[in-house]
Amino acid sequence: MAITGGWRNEAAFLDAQGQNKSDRSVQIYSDLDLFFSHNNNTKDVNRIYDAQAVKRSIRNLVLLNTFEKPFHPEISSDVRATLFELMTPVTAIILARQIQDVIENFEPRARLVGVKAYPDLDRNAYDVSVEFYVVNAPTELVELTLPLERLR
Amino acid sequence: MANARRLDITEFDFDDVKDNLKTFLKAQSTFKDYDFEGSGMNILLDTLAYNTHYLGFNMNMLANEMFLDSSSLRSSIVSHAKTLGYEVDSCRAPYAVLNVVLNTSGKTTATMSAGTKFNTSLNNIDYQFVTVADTTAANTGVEVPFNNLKVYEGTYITTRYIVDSSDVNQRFVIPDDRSDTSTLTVIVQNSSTDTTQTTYNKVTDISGLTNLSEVYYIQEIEAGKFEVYFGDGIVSKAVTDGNIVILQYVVTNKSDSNGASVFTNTSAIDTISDITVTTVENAAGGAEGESLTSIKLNAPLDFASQGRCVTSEDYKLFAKKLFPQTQAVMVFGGESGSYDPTVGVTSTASYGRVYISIKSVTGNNLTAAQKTQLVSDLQKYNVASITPIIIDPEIVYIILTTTFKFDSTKTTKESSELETDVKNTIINLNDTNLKTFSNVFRHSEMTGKIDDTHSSILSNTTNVTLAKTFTPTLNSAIGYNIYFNNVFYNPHSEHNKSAGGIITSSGFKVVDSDEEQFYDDDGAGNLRRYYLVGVTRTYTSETAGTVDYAAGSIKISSTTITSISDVDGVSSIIIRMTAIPASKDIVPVRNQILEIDMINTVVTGEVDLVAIGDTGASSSYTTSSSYTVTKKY
Repeated sequence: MAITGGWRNEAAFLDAQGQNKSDRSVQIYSDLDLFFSHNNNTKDVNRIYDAQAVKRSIRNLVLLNTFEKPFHPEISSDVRATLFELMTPVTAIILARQIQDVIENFEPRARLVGVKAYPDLDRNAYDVSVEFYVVNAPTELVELTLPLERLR
Repeated sequence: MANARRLDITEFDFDDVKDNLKTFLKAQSTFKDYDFEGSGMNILLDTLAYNTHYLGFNMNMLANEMFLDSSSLRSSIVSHAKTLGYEVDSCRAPYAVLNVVLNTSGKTTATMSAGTKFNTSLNNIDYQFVTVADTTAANTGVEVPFNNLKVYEGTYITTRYIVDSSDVNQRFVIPDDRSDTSTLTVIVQNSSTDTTQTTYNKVTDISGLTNLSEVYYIQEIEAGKFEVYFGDGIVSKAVTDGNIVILQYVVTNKSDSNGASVFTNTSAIDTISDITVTTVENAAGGAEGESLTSIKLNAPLDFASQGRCVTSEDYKLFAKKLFPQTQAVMVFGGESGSYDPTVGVTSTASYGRVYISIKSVTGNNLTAAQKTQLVSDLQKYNVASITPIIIDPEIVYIILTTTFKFDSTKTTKESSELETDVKNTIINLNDTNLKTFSNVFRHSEMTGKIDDTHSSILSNTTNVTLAKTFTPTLNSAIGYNIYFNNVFYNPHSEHNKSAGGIITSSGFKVVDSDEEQFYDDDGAGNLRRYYLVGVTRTYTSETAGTVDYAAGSIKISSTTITSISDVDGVSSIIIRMTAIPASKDIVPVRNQILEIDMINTVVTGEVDLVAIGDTGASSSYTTSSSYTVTKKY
């Protein structure tokens, strides 16, 4: 998952890759940082927490294609096939629906508010915006923006 | 899994491994998200579990391949068989026996070289048969006859290898997996300049070998091919650098041309083109290479027999090995019965003999030449004082009369459809449980299966009649013996005398009478011959033979039969005798094979009036008799 520069919306691209820590004292969720960033204090790999952990998880689920998870083809969004469809508003709705399904089925920590996919015709890409509440922080609306294009 | 700190390592299934890892992770608090499918930890667990599963599966397959019983790769099975000293059979080319006559007086001798071709055609497909050795015959004055010439279907191939000991990977491989190794000739030529050739023989017993023994060894290698290899100069003679190894063999289409009968030569033989080819024996013997199941079964048996025929199991094994078309084989020693061509197989002991009965995959009996060949092949493994004798299997037919009751409210099927289903059940049982040696017909098993055919079938009554056929020699006064070897139904002397006893026969005519004749019995041990006037039996002989009810045999006295009536509506050369057995369980004795006669088996379905709640059922309900009625088939 290389990060490429030159994006018109670099903040969105990096949204799911940030290291923000919750300021609450009790962290319910803690996960391995799959970017394996280095923590200078502990000299260990960084961990990610709470909303950020859920964001990462959602991103992983959205990017999973069928048969990528061993023995569990059902755990996937299969957006890849949709990305190769003709780019129309209908396709964007289908894409959003696929993302919505995978989150509702496999991410119990997110209470989904909505998924929107905006086709970017010039770049053959979609900007996907996911809004959700993390179930243990019901007051804080989390928004995740994911750029989806055919070649990643 | 009770203790979360301990990693359970007994599971190899992906999901179980992953669950165990999750249980293990419960003991720590650093990473808590391992149970959510999208989390980074979960992806790590996927990788770990996949890797464990992968290695576990690999280990399982590896362990399976280490034993003959559980291995599934041909190369593994063949390798295990090799350690037991078992030689796996290659595929076999069909062979035919021909008389080839060169019509010439100009030659004192003629030679037919190996690879001489003969053409034939079967089902509109042309096949080529070849000789596999040079044959020379002398002139009888006007012709040079090559009698009983064996020709094999396929292409005669020669493969040459120059021995090069610097090539550590050199192997002498027969490069086609359709090669018949029984046709293989191995010749070693000294070198390209010294053309002296020596024919090597296949090793049969290494105990008598010396460092000069010119023998070769053969083994199956990968992809169903065979490899020839030689001694090391100590066990037997080795090949040296520059030697040319020449392999000559037939590459065949296996069983495709079994049955080909008309052969023609394709070109002149030893310059003579006026050639007459007559077929002595049709093409037979083509077979696939040995199956994995067969290797797994036979390799340990072969090891147990140690290359000798001593017990009847040894004979079974060797019969299968030496006659690859064997489907089933039955062996009995002379102490438990004997065979006499005039009276057939009887229980009279005949010591010093072993009787081998083979059912061939073609369904035909073995030809005289095949029997002779098998006996001579067996001589090498035989105990010296024992004579093997090949006898044909005898088929005892079972004719069933089944009446079943069914509940028409529990099915949408009509009685005719259920009858077809029941017939299919009988056909299945016939195919899977009978039609081979030593398989007993068990009546309750059959009735149980008929009941289980459909949930609407409530009960059935199935009666059994036995049938056997014999081929009479027309216009000759000869007696015949028919052995059923199952006790006949004869509850008292003169049982059913007036209605024809328990024996029936198909029709035939005898000398001195134009009437169609039949046999029955008087229930007192006498076979009677009669003809019908309307429906009345008019007996032409009250003592046409004897019936031994206890032994289950019929002896027909000397009779001159002149013609035979149709059997089952088609013209026939056989006469069918039927008998009612005392027991409905039928046992095949010695070389007998039981088979259900589906042509004459009758299945009738009736609606069960009680089950469907018919108001008059209590008075009109009928049942079928379990007593088998004597009926002519």
